[in-house]
Amino acid sequence: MTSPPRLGLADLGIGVGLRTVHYRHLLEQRPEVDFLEIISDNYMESAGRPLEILDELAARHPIVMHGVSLSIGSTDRLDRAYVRSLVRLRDRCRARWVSDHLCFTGVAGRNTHDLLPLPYTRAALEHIAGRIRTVQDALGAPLVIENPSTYVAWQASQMPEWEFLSELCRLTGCGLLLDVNNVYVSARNIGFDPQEYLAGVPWPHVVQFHIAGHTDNGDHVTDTHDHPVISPVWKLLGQAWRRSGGASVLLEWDAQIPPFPEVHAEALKARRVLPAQRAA
Amino acid sequence: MSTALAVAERWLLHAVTRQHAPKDTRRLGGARVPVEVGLGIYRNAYRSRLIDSLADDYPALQSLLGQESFASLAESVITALPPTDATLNRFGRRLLSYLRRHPQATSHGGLALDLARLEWAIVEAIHAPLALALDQAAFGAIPADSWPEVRLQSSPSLRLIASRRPIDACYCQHLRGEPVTAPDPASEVVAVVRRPEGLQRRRFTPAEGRLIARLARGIPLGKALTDCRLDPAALGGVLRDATEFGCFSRVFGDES
Repeated sequence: MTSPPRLGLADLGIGVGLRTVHYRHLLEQRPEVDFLEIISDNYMESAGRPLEILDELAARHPIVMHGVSLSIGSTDRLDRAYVRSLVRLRDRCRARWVSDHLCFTGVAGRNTHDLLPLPYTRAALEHIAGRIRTVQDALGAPLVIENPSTYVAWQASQMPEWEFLSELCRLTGCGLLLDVNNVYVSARNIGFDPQEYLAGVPWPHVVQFHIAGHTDNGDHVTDTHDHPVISPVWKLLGQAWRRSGGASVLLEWDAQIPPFPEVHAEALKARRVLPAQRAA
Repeated sequence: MSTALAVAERWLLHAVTRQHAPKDTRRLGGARVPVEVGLGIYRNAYRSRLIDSLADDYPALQSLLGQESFASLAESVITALPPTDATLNRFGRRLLSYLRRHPQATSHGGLALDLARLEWAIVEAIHAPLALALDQAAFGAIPADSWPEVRLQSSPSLRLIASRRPIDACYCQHLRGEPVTAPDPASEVVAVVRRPEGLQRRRFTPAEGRLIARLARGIPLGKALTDCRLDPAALGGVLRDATEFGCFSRVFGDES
């Protein structure tokens, strides 16, 4: 049983991030998975095998798109060719929604391919809101924005991340992909209370949750996506899911990736922390 | 657009991508993690992500050079030709460009360059569209006097790599999980195509490779044969082998 649509976007259940090492298993074993999340960028400049595999999987599973290069916070001109590619891919695989991160990945014509943190200022808010509106016009649908994991804070920030996201949602009507592992990681690194974060989330905009494992280095935490999800993150997911009223949950596993059944089983552990009507 | 935001972004970009961390980090602060640690995470992630991406595209080259030398080469590529594209898919091409400009960047010189050319050809073939391979029977419909004017359309995934080193043998070592070693010189052309059953490689002699390359460029058969100085008696065999392998997707007689 799933929850009612939010921003017109359905609760797809519990999904897994599609990774190349799992292609063969998914194609040959055809496991039942509620939905798959693709890294948009891996399919946007290919006319070959990756797209053929995506076509086959999209015929069997609901797909959502998750990108890393929209660079929504960049002060460079918005890459409209990139946005057009997103739209084409979305239409091709009938993706339910398109998400990317609250960050910038490049500026001055350079690209770091890393999710660099933004100063949470009023000026940044207006700048990013304008770009989100442009992307949403191209998509004809809400863009879904994810909270990043962060390791530094800007002195110039004028508000906490949750307030910034809340304002973005209010100004643009965008969706929110709440990565509860990122909340945990950033809370440890930056030094805020995850409960305060959850209290400030604009819940009607949350259409998806991310969960993942991370590396605890003692004095800081890195968002490595190479471990099982730890208990405090599961707990945060349960709390967040209840506050939201229910939305899709997805496990990311990007390094030292176990076989698909193991990754899927890890994702399905979410049932233990979700309310009974979803866990059923 | 906010000027302050633009300035801040450029500052962080430089702080993350430049070889040395900035001394003045007053723009950052207020986090539990010390600034140098937090910034170090971004700096390390930037470099390691790009090095990993190059290692994914060039596994045999990495084996030939060894992990340390490959990482050093990758660092040079990142410094000289930093990424500008929105996605990482094309970043691997920069290693090839770098080796072309700096053939002495590794102790293996031309072999490293040619092996890199082969591995990038494989990456390109994976991302090329699939086309039905030409059926040998299509040649049967061509009148004998039209053969000199026959043109072939190359398969979209076809890549031909000419080398004076047996690079395919090096690549086979990598596929077998063996260390890639420098072989004795031997000229060859390696063809790469993507077929429904997967990626295929095949070696041709230099003369055969020259003929296939000219045909793939749409040069009529008669002229291509003259250009590449291939024994005409060998033509049938080369055409058959190249067609069976999947080098071509269409044949045109003299109707055009």
